[in-house]
Amino acid sequence: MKPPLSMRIGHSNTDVASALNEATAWLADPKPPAAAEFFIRLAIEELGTNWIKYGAKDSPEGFMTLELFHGNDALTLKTTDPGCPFNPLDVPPPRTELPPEQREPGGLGILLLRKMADRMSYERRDGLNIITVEKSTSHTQA
Amino acid sequence: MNKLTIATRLKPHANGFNEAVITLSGTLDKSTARRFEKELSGLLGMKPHRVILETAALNHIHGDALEALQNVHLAQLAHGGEVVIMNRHEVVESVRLEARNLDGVKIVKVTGHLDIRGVSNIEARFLETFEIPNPKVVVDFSATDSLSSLGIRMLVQGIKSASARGGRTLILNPTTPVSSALETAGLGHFIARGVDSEIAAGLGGQ
Repeated sequence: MKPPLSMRIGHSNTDVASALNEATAWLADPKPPAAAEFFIRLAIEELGTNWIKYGAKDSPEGFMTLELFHGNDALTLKTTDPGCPFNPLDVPPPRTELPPEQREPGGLGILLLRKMADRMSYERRDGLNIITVEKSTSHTQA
Repeated sequence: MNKLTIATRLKPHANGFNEAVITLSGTLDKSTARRFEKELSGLLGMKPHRVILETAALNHIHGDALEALQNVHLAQLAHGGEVVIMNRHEVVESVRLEARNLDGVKIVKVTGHLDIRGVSNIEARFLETFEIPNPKVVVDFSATDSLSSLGIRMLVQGIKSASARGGRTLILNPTTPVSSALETAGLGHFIARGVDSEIAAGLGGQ
């Protein structure tokens, strides 16, 4: 089985870009279905930038760790960060039914993850936020 | 004397997907760039789906060589492939914007990753497209591999800008995952499928 990929995101958007590049290279061999690859890149960016915008402010020395692994016909991304408690499953969705002219920014990234993930879970343990998202790599479900 | 070492290997994957990995080391400047382009031209016949340029071992890239890299990128895309340029995990170019006019309609094609790596590189040029009276814009997402909330915000800004000027926007032929993201974001009704000239004619006639 392919070894998991471990990454870190500190306090800069450059860290998110670097994590995306590392994941892109990791995902190149073997190449998963397009939907799964797309989702994992999306999850790294949305969870990484969320950490930088909100969690990292409470944790000047802290960082988010990311583990990406492939098993049981699914790609799984697990993020762990020491920021204040943040459950993405509790975030109210943005009003996407409104025309673009009337929309307020915010919440779209989390909505995309919730809708496009096959599984998404959150737990708060030992002062850490642990978010796990999963996307099937079965071609019939991709 | 400037020296450039080029190592090329082909990596076939499942489902007929082929990837070429080219590792460059030494100096890439005007004199060595020509040899590099020649190496690439030999690769084009094999039509790899993706080309990864590993440039971490390059000790110097001359400004003139950057143009050569751009030529390589364009040549590869013409064959329907994708080029990822890696430099110590920093992608030099992850997204590309091409704009053209078709019967009074602007066609804007976004190729690559419309995410945190690419949005800032093209945002100003992308939004300029909408900043004319009564703009009619077709945003071609057929070669867009990634789309994050940051990319969607840029798109929404363009749509708003067009609407405020009495114009219209359509999103052309997004891939399945990009289409899912757009639907989730409530932008599904902007999606159009078909040939760009026909879509442009329909948009221009309204």
